[in-house]
Amino acid sequence: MSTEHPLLTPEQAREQLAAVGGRSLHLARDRRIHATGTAVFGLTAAVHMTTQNVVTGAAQVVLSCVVLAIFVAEAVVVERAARTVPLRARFWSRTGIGASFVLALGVVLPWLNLQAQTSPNTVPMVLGGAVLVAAPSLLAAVVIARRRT
Amino acid sequence: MTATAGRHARHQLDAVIHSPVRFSIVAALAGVDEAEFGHVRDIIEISDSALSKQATQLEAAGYVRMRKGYVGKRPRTWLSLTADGRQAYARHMQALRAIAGDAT
Repeated sequence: MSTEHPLLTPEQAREQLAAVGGRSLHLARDRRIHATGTAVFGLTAAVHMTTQNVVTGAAQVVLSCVVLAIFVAEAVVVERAARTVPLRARFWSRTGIGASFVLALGVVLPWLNLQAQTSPNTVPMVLGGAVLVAAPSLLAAVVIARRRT
Repeated sequence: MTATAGRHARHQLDAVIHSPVRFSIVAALAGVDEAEFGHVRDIIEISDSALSKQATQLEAAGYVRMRKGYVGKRPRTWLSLTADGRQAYARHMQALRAIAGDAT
């Protein structure tokens, strides 16, 4: 590659700087797609993990298949529909979903399992756990949707 | 640094990014993590072949990454700036601002 330094007048430099902001690839629609995808992924994972002690047997197998289908469909829809990945959207999405999994596996599931040893998990307990697990993903979705750059 | 290195801001301009079309591509990609080839083509307003040629040159310089995949049966290419590309673009913009008399 050439190491020659290009010559440029201040006027040309100003013109180039002015042209930079004129053509943005950013699409608000893509932000919504990625935010929705992150929220759906987090909510689905939260519901699936926190209902482990409530839904058993064949119903659990069916639920797992439905959850898997939602994950795959969500990934396909986002890849198909979005023409861009907004700046830092991937980082926030992975961080939110990762935090949801860490919270589920490290806090909520052990707590639900511990409670289930003395009495069955109640609906409020499961709902509370699901909300807690989904929270990081939902927060990440809000961050993705609200960023302007 | 090369034998032509100096203190004037023009020495910080990146010869690869300096081309108008490549500058437009890099500037556009700097605002996103990744963008679909067709969308970049539409925004920059150039032909498929011109974008492909310029993107290949930027990829050879290590500034752009091209990811090929499929959406259904249709092939799709995604473009993104590498870390080196983002740094080079930041340096280039800094040099442009300095030349324009607007160094910040």
